Amino acid sequence: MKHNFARRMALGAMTAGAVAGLVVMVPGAAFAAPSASGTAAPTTATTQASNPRCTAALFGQAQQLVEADLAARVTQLNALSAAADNTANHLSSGDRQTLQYDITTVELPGIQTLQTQAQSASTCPGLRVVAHSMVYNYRVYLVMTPQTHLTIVVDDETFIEGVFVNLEPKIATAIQNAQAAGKDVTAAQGAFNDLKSQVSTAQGETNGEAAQILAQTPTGFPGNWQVFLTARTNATNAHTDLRVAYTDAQSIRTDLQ
Amino acid sequence: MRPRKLATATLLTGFAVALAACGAGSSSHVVARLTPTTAVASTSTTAVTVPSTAGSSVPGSTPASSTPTTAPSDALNPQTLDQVAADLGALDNSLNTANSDLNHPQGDS
Repeated sequence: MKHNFARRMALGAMTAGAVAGLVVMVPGAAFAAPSASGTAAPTTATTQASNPRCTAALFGQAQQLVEADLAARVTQLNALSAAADNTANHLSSGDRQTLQYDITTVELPGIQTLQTQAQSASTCPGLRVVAHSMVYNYRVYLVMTPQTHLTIVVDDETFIEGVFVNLEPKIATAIQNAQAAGKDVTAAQGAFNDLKSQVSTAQGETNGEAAQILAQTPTGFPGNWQVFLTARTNATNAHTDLRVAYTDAQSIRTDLQ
Repeated sequence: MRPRKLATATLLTGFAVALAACGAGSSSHVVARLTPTTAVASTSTTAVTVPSTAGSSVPGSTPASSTPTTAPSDALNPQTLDQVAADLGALDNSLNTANSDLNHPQGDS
């Protein structure tokens, strides 16, 4: 996996270099290796001089590179659309609709239009406009991708929180019944108290997150990168809390048997 | 002859009344006992489904043997926990994907 990733990055760097060298309208920094920790936004230069190497002789190669980048984005958007469509996850219907709309009604047609424009471009400045739009107007990798996946994570967590919340009164009754029958429920009650606390904390960490994530737009990058990082931190914490809550539930079941 | 017939009739009537009373008692017994049972364990409402209460003669009472095993099996049955485990497993994958997006963004934008 690491090997594949390294290869992909190397290829990406080569491609990036080639595109930058040929047409340059693709922001060079956007091809730079991202921060390993993911704490800093990959920086994208907002202005960059035209590359004089996009000559008539090299135009064909530059065009092919841009077309390849556009095709890769179509593939990525189709994958995101499939993820948003996948009913195995627990996206809320509203969030699913929002993602589907953004991906299939805004992003995908936009990139496909750029594909047509790239094919019909005949000059470096024309190709540059297409590539610039591809990066800055759509942000398939740096906004749409984390936005989709993080929303799925947060909504999945929200769903699991709901499952636990629904279980809580039943568990309380089970403990009461066990106690009434003379069973020592000290451990079960302790685990139950912790379960409720964990679920409550997880709810606090996911509350409002999906809306916050979905509010981010391609043009908000790189400022919205921090929003994604914060959402990731909260989601990770909620994930840990829910794992502990699950362990608590298992303990309660064992204690009451 | 007459008094003997009367005595027989009386006896039979009494027996019939006793049988009817037993039937009525039995019926009310089942209904009364099903209420607490079905509130805890999810079973059908037929008398056959309440073997755990058969030993008790007091309608509505909780037999000593029907311990809380009914409670966790309802609230935390294996299916419920298995489903939560499956959802948590799916969550692991989703979170890994999101982490990958942020740690190693693909492409350039």
